[in-house]
Amino acid sequence: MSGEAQILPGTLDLLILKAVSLGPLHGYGVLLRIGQISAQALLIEQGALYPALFRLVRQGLLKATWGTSENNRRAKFYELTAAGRRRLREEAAGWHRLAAAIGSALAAETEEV
Amino acid sequence: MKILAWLRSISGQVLRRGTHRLDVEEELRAHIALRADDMERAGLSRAEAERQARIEFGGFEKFREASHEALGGDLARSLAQDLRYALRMLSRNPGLAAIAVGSLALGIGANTAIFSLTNALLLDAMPVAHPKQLRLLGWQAQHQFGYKHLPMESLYGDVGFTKTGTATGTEFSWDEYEALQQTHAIFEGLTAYYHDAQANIEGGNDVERGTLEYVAPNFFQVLGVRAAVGRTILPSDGSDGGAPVVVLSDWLWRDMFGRSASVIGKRIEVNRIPLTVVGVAAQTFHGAGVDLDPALYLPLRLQPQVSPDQWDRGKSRLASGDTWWVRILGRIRPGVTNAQAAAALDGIFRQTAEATLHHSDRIDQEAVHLVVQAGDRGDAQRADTKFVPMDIGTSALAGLVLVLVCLNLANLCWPARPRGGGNSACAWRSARDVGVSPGNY
Repeated sequence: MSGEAQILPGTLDLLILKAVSLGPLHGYGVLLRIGQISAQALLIEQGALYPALFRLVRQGLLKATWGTSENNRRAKFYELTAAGRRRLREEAAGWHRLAAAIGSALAAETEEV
Repeated sequence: MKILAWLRSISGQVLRRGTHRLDVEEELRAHIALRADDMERAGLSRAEAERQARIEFGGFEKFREASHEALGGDLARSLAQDLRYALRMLSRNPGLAAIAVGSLALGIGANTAIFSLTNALLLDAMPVAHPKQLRLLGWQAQHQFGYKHLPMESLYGDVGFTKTGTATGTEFSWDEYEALQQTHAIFEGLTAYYHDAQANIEGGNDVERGTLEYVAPNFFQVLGVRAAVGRTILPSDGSDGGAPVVVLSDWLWRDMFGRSASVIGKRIEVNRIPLTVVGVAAQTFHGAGVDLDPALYLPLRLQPQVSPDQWDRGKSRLASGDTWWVRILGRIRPGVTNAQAAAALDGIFRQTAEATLHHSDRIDQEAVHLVVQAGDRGDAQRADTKFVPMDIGTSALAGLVLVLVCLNLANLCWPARPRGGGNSACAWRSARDVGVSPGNY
């Protein structure tokens, strides 16, 4: 499984917010969407999704409503709140800065030091 | 803002705990079903698809509990766990538990006792009709050398001496009471009473000891206290010709006669003087004094026979203008202030004093005056000036004792907490443990 990566602690929330920002999803849908947008490269333990979802609801970043899935099962659908949208923007910017910094650090050659 | 949201989520959690638990479970099951649907579409049998989906999901119980925690903690459940833990720890350290329980009991007990006293002294109005309308009469005199320079020869009661050279008291002679009673413009009614020390009471097949409250014939009428059974003492009981009657308190009725209604007309003996029971006072009424809870109410005129003075056997205090002993409560007319009442009655009070006191020559230079004060708590009122500072002091002390007890217990528990734990959820839980189990070790 060399193509898959364990996600870093703290990044699951960001991934969930991103997935939900593309349209309301139920929990299983969030999982599929994360797989899809990360090109199946990230491993998430399925059950671990739910404590994270509930935490985001409690923080007011997501809101949840019961609805019916595409194959007619009762499921809870999540969507971003305004606060969630703001948080996603901030976290994404932070992540980009961090990734750029780590990337440039790792790219450093001996002559540049 | 964060704290508010947290509180809301906690309270919501407690209120809607049942729904949450079901909701979470349903949602997790829906996930597994949806996953199984996908696998079924990919060609697995339904049973196999569901088995696979459950495996992929991971530990169902673990994630369900984690979900509850994420929703604000399953408060009631973890509190119950904490309580069980506390009980286990207490039973493991019975010595420590006994110390903890004992010192808490002492601390709380002391506070309760002091507060009961505060309540009786400072807060509780007597259970009578319109207690705010009642006034307690008193007098004040200039003094220089204490008791022997007061104008009255004998005084049954406490005299307060202030630093400014004023003596105050709330006892009057019978002559004063009768003279003041004539002033109908100020008071709707004035009545008098006197507490006597413990007496022997024989009745039924029982002997009890209790305080006697001697009352003027109109006492129950002026206070507006009814009889629970039979009748109260009435003005017609005042004339010397009437048969000697007595009214029982609720506690004596209970202890001596088992609350039997047939007590009316029974004979009891008080200090070997036979009296006829005519009624029982209302259960809520405990006399006009502080914490005395008299056993019996009897007409004042019986005092010389029933409680004769040791050194003056047979002599009636009623006939002596020089003996100051009865307390006077009055029901003031609406709109009359205490100062107006005192000013209006002062003349009669001083005239009577001059006419009846043996040492009336002391009156002018010592300036004796009538005082009118609130009487809704009976003669607890006169205790105010003396007891308030003391009561505040003792209350503060009792409070301090409780604080010390708590600090002590915290001290006993705190170092006993297991070290480590690390994350904040653990710390919060430890704090809760201390809360539920003071004897934790």
